[in-house]
Amino acid sequence: MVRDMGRLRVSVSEEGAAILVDGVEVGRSPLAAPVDVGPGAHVVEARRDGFESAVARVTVGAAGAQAVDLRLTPLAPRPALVRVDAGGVAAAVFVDDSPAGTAPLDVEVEPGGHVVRVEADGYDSASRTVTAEAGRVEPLAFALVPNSPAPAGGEAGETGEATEEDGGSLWWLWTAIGVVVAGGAVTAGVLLWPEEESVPDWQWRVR
Amino acid sequence: MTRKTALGLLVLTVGASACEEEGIPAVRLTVTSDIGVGLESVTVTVTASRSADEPRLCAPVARSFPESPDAGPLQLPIEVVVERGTEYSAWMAFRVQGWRPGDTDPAVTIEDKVEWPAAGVLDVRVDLLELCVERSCPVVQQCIRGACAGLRTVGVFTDPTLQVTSLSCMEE
Repeated sequence: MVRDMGRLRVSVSEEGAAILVDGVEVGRSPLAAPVDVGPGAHVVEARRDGFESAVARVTVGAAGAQAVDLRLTPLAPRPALVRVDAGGVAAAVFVDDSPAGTAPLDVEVEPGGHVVRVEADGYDSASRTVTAEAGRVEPLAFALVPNSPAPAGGEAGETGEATEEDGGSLWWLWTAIGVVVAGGAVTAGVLLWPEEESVPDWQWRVR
Repeated sequence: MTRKTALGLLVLTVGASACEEEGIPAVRLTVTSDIGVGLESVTVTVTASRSADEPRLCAPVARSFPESPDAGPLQLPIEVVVERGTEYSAWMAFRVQGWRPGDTDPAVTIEDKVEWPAAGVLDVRVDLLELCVERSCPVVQQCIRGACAGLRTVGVFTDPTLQVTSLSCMEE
């Protein structure tokens, strides 16, 4: 059985880094001896405070030896992030009046105070002030309020009859959407319904 | 039947379907790829946080597929199930990397975090696409379907100071 084991010779650019093979710590750099592993693919990782982790994937054959050289680079200062969530609405996000993207998203900002504004069709725009700190994620959740219905006759030439007709169209639109959604849900349920107990390729249980 | 009644029935139907599965809450990662990537292996790394607000992590664990040279070529999709525990139960994060033959760096990486479902299994599909091969994005972003998008796991897999323990995330 021992003859079937392979060996990993792991070297790391920094001393004192934790060395992990497939997520399990096997020692700290410099390792005094090679690591015995089973044949196959393995993930080798080095971690040390103040450095970005380095990871490599190696494939070791039976009774083979593989050298792994991991280079750790100093950890860049962690950015200040603002995590913008508009409650499921794809709202345009502005930070200090500059467009930043569409919610939900994380925006990297300079540490300090910022004004975050979200805008979406059909909703009142909303803005909040947030103080961002380096290395932290500042969650910012907006509960957007739908616009008040446009008053009848808001457009020149519109009449009460036209508004009623719009309401009727919307009724059928939502009915059609409901039918499509229901059909999709049923179809998905049928398609995704497991025929038998599925066996995953791998299973973990978190502590 | 009023529209509200019809809508209520629809919600109940979908809700009932979602509640069918019971047991330990879990996340099921299904890893797929398009053919052009030509991946040789896939590595799945998983960690979990015991705090909802900021990463307070256990030590990540990783698994490579195929698991041995004798297992033949990479078979996709790969299905990995991660069951919620009791201590690190706020959220879990995953990093999926696809490797091409001979490469020492992954050709494509996708990572994200998800909250554990209250019950049943939450299905998460991870597509490793050629659109994202060797596409570089800013440090707080990653390539999703060919475009750089916000990364919700900044530092989770690269910054050891976010770990509150050196113990593996997984039960023995």
